[in-house]
Amino acid sequence: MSILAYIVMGIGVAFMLLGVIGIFKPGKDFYYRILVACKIDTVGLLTLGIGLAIYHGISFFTGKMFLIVIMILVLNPFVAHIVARSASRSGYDSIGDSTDVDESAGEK
Amino acid sequence: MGGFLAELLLLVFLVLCALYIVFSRKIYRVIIFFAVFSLITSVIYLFLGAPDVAMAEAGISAFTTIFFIVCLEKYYSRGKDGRNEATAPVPKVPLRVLLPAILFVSGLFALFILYAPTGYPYTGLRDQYLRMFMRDVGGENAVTAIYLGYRVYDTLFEALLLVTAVVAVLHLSWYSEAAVPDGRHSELEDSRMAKFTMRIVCPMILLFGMYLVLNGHISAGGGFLGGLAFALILICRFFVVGIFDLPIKKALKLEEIVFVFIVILPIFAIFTGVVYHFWGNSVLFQTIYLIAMNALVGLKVAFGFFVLFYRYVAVERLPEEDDTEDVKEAG
Repeated sequence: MSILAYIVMGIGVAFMLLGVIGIFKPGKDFYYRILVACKIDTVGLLTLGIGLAIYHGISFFTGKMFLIVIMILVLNPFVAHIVARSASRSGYDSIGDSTDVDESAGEK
Repeated sequence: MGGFLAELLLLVFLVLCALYIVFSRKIYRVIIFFAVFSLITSVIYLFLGAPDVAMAEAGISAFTTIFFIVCLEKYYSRGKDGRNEATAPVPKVPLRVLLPAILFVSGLFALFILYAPTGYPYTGLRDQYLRMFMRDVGGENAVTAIYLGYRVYDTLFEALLLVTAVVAVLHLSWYSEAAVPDGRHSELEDSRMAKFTMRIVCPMILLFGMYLVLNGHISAGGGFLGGLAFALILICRFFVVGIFDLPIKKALKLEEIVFVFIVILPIFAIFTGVVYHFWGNSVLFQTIYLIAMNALVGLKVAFGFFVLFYRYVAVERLPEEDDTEDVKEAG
């Protein structure tokens, strides 16, 4: 059982590694980065949580972990959606631009 | 060793954040860095072995960040020029003032390091609390035992402080029933995704708050944190469907009633010893007392924060005087 848990947690860490590489990849725009950051939060944390739940077997801890996993599954894509939506609504259009969000873009 | 290094790194980040907060003039950035500061503080509390305080710090940081940003949006959306950031210039401090000040502060710091007490101070009281709290107050969480048992008098005054703050905000902010803004309050109100998320998340937060309140005497948590979680539900509701249909007067009345019960319960259970006289020092009554007090404190904090948030969001400023103040501040 613990071997399975380690494998699942390893998959989670691998997803996080890919996400970190993707975030700091040069020459990509803001929307690309937020897509990748959402992957770290959602898939990485989700797989880590499932791995921890498997590792501990059936207990009170697993129930709490299950609730946390559901929260992550619901909340993280929503948060990434909100950030990208706000950037789009405040007129930030960064295709082919690798700089950070311009501060004056939100001031209109 | 690794833990020590991580703690040291966090402390350095904490100092950098604090310096940025003090010296920056961009108010949105200050708010965000304030949240970062609180988060780092909370992790440091966790390193020091105080999960109750860490959770309180994280919850308060979440609450205040939303609170500040919403208030700022309200403030700027009513002004004429819109969202010009606070552009007050940093006052230039001449070197002949700055240098002695720096020397003085570093001298104080050196003295502090030189004469810092080595070893622990007197620990008799702490040892006695930790040894006796299960028999005296009950429960398994020493923090709850101290703030509901040994130091319940302080807790009463803290509760009184929150009541005073709420009453002061109510009476010092201009507000009329007709001035409640109707229509859209945030960008999220027509989003079906936000409504769906709220429908799933709010029961979860409610469950978490109930867990914190009802388990406060045996694990980390307690009334204050549970109440904070309940108040966060109202903030979620504000962003998605608005809170202006909720009865604020009833919330205020309920808060006062709950405060009266917070005063009454320790009088019977702790101060006068009526419960002890009739039923002895039984575990059952101790547990009932702790759970009831935690629930009351949680309700009180939830109502108090709700009233504060409602009034800050719905506050109506007087038109003429405030406009002149805006001009003065901007110019």
